[in-house]
Amino acid sequence: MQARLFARQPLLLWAFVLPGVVYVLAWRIVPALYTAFLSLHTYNLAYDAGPRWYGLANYVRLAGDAGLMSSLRVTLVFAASAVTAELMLGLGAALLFDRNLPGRHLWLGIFLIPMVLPPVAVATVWYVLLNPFVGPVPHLIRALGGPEILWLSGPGTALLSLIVADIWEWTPFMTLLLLASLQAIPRELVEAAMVDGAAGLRIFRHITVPHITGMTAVAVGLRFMDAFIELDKVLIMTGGGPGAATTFVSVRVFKTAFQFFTLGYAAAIVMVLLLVLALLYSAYLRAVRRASRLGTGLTEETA
Amino acid sequence: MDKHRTRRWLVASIAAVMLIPLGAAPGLLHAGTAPVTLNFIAADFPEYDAFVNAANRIGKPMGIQIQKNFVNFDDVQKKVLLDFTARNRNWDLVFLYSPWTVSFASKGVLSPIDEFLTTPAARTLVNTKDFVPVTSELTYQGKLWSMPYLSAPWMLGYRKDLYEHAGERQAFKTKHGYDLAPPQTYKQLLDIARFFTRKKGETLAGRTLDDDFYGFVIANKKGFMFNRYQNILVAFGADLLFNPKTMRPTYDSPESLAALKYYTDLYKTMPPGSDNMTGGESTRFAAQGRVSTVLTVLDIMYSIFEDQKTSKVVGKFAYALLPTQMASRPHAMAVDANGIGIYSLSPRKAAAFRLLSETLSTRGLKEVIKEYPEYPAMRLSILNDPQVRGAKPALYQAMSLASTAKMYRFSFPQLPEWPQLVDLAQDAVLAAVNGQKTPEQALADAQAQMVEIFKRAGHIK
Repeated sequence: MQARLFARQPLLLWAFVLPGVVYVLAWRIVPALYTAFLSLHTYNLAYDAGPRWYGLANYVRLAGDAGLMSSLRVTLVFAASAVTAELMLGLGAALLFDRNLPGRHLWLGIFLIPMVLPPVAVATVWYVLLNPFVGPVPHLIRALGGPEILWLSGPGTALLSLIVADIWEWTPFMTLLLLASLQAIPRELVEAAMVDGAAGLRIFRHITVPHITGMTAVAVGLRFMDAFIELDKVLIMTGGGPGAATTFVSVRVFKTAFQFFTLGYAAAIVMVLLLVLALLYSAYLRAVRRASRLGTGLTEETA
Repeated sequence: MDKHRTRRWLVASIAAVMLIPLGAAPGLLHAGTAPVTLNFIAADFPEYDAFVNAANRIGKPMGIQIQKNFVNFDDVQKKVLLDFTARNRNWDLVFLYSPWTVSFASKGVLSPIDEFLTTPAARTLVNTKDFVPVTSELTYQGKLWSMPYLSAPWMLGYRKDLYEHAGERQAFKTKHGYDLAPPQTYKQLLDIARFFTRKKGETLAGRTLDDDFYGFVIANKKGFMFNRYQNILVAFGADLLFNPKTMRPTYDSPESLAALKYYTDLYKTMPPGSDNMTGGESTRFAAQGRVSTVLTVLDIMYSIFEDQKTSKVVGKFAYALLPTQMASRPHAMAVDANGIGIYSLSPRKAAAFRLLSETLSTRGLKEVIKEYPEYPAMRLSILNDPQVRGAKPALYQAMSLASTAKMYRFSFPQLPEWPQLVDLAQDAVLAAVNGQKTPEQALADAQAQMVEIFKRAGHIK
C-alpha cells in the first residue's frame, strides 16, 4: 500500500528520503571522498595556499613509516586488552544484574555512570587519580608500603593506565548490551532445561552463550573499532607519551593533521586505516557467524 | 492526499523554513545602536583574561565589548587556520604566537597593524617606538602582524632561603669547593641540583624532610619540554636542530650529544612524573616547597610562587639568568612573544583596532596590570614606570636583568617542517632520559628521521 502511495506521489517519497540522503552525502560520502582526494595531494595547512597533486607519494611514505607501524601495534595491544577485559567484566556484571537483586535498578544506574560521562571528564578523573603527587592511587600504594609507580609517565604503566581508564568507562556499555540480550532469553527455555536436569554451567554453555553470541559480537566489534578512534583520554592523560609509548594511530593522525599540518599524509593514514578496519571487521563478522552456526546448529540463512 | 495537495504542502513547508531567518530581523534592525561585540580567540593564559577584563572596561564608553573564546594553547593555531581556510568570519581578534607569524602573514589570516596606522592619532596611540625589542618576532616583511602583548624571559627560579642557609652553604662548599650561589654555568646547576636532591627523613636547612625533596624541576610533558630543553641545547653550542646555511639536520652533532648527556644527568634530580608535567604543574609543584631550582618563564613563576592562597614559598624564590655553557653563548635563551592580531575576515576590523590600540596603549596597559599585577608588558614606558616597578620590585628587577644582560638570544626558525622536528627531538630526549635508548642511539634515530623529512621537503637531496 505504501509502495503504491509513493508510486503515485514521488514528491512525497523524496520528502521522506531526502533528509537521509543529504545526511549520508554531506556527513559521510563527501568527507570520505575529500579525504581520498587529499591523500593524493600534499597540503600544509599552515603554509600552503591549497592542495597540490602528489600522486601516490603519501602512500609510498606510509609503507616505510616505522612510527606508524609502532602506533598500530600500540593501538592493537590497547584495543585487544581493553575490549577483552571489558567483555569479561561486562558479562560478569550483566549476569549479576540479570538476577533479582534488591535495589537492582539503582545499582545498575550507578554502574552506568562512567559510560555517560564525557570522555574529557573520564580522562581528567583518571589523570587526577593516578597523579604521583596528589592522586589517591599512588598515595594508597605508598601507604601500604608499595613501590613508587609512575602510572602516567612510565613506558609500560602509561599504556596500562589508559587501558584501566577505558575499562572503567566502557564496561558498563558492554554490560548494558549483554544484559539486554540475557533478558531476551525465553525463561521457558531455561526452565525446560532445568526440568531436564541441566544446571549452572551447562545452561550457561548451551542456552545463554548461543543466545548472546550475536550481541557479544556486535558489542566487541563496536568497542574494538572505537578503540581505534580513542583520542581524548590519551591527549589528556599522557599526551601520547612517554616517548611514543601511547601514541595510538588516532593520536598520530591528529598530530599529523593538526600539529604538523600535513593534511595529505594524515588523509593517507586515514584511508589505509579505514581499509584495514573494514577488512578486519568483515573477517571478524564472518568468523562470528561461523562460530554462532557451530554453537547452535543453525544454517547460514537462519544465523 | 492528491498530487496537488502534496505539492502545496511541500511548497508551504519550504516557504516556512525560508521565513525562519526573518524572525531575526528585528534584532538586525537594532544592530546599529547595539554595542559591537568582538570575538577573540586566545590561549587560556591568565594574562589574556586580564586583557579581556581591562578591554571591556575601556571599551564600555566606546560601545565595544569583547567575547572571549579561550582554548588550549596548542589548539589556537589549528582552529584559526581551519576557520580561515573555510572562510569563516567568526573572529575579530586572534592570539598570535611569534613562531606562527610567517604562516599567518603569508596565508593572509591577519591584517597587518600597519594598515590601521593611517592617522596621526592612531600612530601616537600605538607608538611603535615604545615597544620592547622582542617585538621584532611579531614582524614579517617589514610589517607588524599583531600588537605585542606578552613576552616573558626564560629564567631560573631558585630558593633564596636554601641557597643562603649557612649550614647548606657550608656543606656545599665543603663538597664542591666553591660557594653556593645562583648557578652561572650548567655544571654548577647540576652540582646544586644534585646537592639539594634529598630523601624523606634527611635534613634540609636544619629540618627533617617529610617528603622527598628535589634539586630541579622542569616541564617534561610532550609539547612543553622542547621549549625548555632548547635553551640547554643551544647553550651547549648545538644548532637548533638543523644548520640553516646547509639546511641539514644536525641533531646528532657532538654538541647536541653533550647537551643530551647533561640533561640525562640533570633529569635524575627531577621529581618522578615530571615527564607528565606542564609548565604550570611543574611550577605549582615547586610552589609546594619541594624543589630548590626551577626553569620556566618568569611571570608564571612569579605569579604562582607569590600567590598567598596556594603557595608555600611566598617570598622565598629569587630569579637568575639561565646558566652559561660556552663563553660565546652567554645565558643562551630562546626568545618568543605573543600578541593580538586582527583577523583579516573580520567584519568589524575598525572597531577591533580601536579597542586593541586603546587597551594596549600605555594608559590601557596600566588597566591590564590592575587585573594581573604580574603581567610583563611589552612597552618600555610601562617597564620603566617607577610606580609600576615599585609595586613588584622583585619581578621588575628580574625583568631588567633579563633585558639588559649580555645574552645569546635566538628565535625559532620559520619552517613548515618545524613541528615535526620538535616532535622527534623531544621523543629522543625522553627516550634517553628514561633509559629506553642510549643518548647516542636516540639522537641517531631522530637524526635519520629528520634527514628524511628534509629530503621529502626538498631542502636536501
